[in-house]
Amino acid sequence: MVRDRFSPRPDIAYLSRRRKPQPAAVPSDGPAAVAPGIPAAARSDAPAAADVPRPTAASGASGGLTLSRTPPRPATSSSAPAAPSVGLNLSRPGTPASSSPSAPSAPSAGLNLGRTPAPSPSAPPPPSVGLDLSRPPAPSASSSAPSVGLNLARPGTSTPSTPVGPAAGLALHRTSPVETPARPTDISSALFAAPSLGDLRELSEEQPVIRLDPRQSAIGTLAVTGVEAIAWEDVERVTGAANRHGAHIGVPVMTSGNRPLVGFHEQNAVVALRHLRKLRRAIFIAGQVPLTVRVFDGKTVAVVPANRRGDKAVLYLSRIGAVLELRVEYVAAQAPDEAIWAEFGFTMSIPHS
Amino acid sequence: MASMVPGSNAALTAENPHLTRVLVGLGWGMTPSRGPQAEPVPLAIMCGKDGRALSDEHLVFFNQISTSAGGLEFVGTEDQEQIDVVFSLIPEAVSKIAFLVYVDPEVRGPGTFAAVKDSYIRVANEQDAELLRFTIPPQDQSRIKAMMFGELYRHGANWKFRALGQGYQDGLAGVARDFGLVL
Repeated sequence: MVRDRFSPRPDIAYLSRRRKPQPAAVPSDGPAAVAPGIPAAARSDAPAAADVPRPTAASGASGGLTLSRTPPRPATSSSAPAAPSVGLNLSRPGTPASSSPSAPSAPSAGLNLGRTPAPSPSAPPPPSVGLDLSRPPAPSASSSAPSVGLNLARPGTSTPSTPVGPAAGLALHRTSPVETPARPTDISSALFAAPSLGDLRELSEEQPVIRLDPRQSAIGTLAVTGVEAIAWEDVERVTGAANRHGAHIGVPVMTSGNRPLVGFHEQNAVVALRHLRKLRRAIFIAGQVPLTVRVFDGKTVAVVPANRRGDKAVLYLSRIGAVLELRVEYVAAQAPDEAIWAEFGFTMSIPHS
Repeated sequence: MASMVPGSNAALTAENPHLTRVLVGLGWGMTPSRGPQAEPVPLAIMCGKDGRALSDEHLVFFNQISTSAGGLEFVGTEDQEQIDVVFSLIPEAVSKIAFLVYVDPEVRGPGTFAAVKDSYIRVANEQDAELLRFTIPPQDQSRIKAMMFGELYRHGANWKFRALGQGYQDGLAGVARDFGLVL
């Protein structure tokens, strides 16, 4: 039998064309609980649930990347209205949108890169619970629900009336206690546990990491003995390197105390901890003798200069918020400094003439 | 605004019953140097009845800008540092809050207070109106490596401020010893 190949097959359910969700007609004199831009599926009393693409067990289990255009997420039972997302949404929709058992399930369990339709500013979308790379909403008087996920939205576009979290940026101007700015939450408070300086006597491949506390990280000088060469990078990505013989390359980072942020002093590598906030990271390349790290409180830790395979140690120092972390890595014994810089991602800055 | 002399004290909340928070500002000038220069660092320590720090966490400075209990926070840099003190948030166990400045113990020429001049501590109200000011009197500071500028302390149900200007020749190590800190 010859069939029209282009006509829909109403007898096969899965071949039927899905219909776009249509906003349900709202009586003009009815309650205005839902804005006109919100699809019917967003309302708990919507009768046209079958018209709206709903997650199926198969799609939810796939966990794959979907690039579909999706309707706005259903509103939750939360009473706090959230700012509407009008940009690219990278949220992970599989995460429950609400702890309420009555909340509708998320449209897909996969990563959703779909561009969501812009809802009405008065619509109350759910709080973000996943990775949200959306642009923040256009200026709106409505308050936003707190985001509990990673929000990489472009800052600074919200209105002053929009409540912002403590990570709203460091206020550098402040004189009166009346206008106490919100301090950014220090990232170091969210780190995984690591041994402290003093917990370990020696760093090795088995125990490669220690972390200093905020006081150890900021008082006096961090001195490392036994270092053959160093390289540094500040928060503005200015890099440089030096060795204990006095050779240097790149750009030194000077501090307001007229000292290099990282440098050599009497054969020891030193870091000016008063200016910790200028430092991003540094490496200390071992010579033939063990490295020894010492801070103001007198606590020390040693680093074996080579592992069992004969690789030489490189002590990697990184600043994480208010604390310094020390990690020992091992590189080929004959590797030149340039190869070690490259291995750790250092590209030397070019000095201005 | 009242100027103070070393050792004098002044009532804060008794004179101003509505004073719930104060701004403590510390400042100084530096004699310029082409070489390594002393770097003064402000520090505030919450102390118990024995005059010692409640714990290492009960101090604030540039890298530990507030205490977990709250009430004491570094907030700005109009002076060299400004510290916001909210009396209602200060734990009951705190009897005084000492305000010090130490010269950072850098191994590369740490220096002393010799290069520090015109040091002061001031207390202002919520509107940043100055209530008290204590200017450290000129003196030979060539061996001083830390200095206690002043302290807020409880006096009954009220808070008072005492001007000090007491120097430490052994710097931050002496401060740590006196206040029972592990620094």
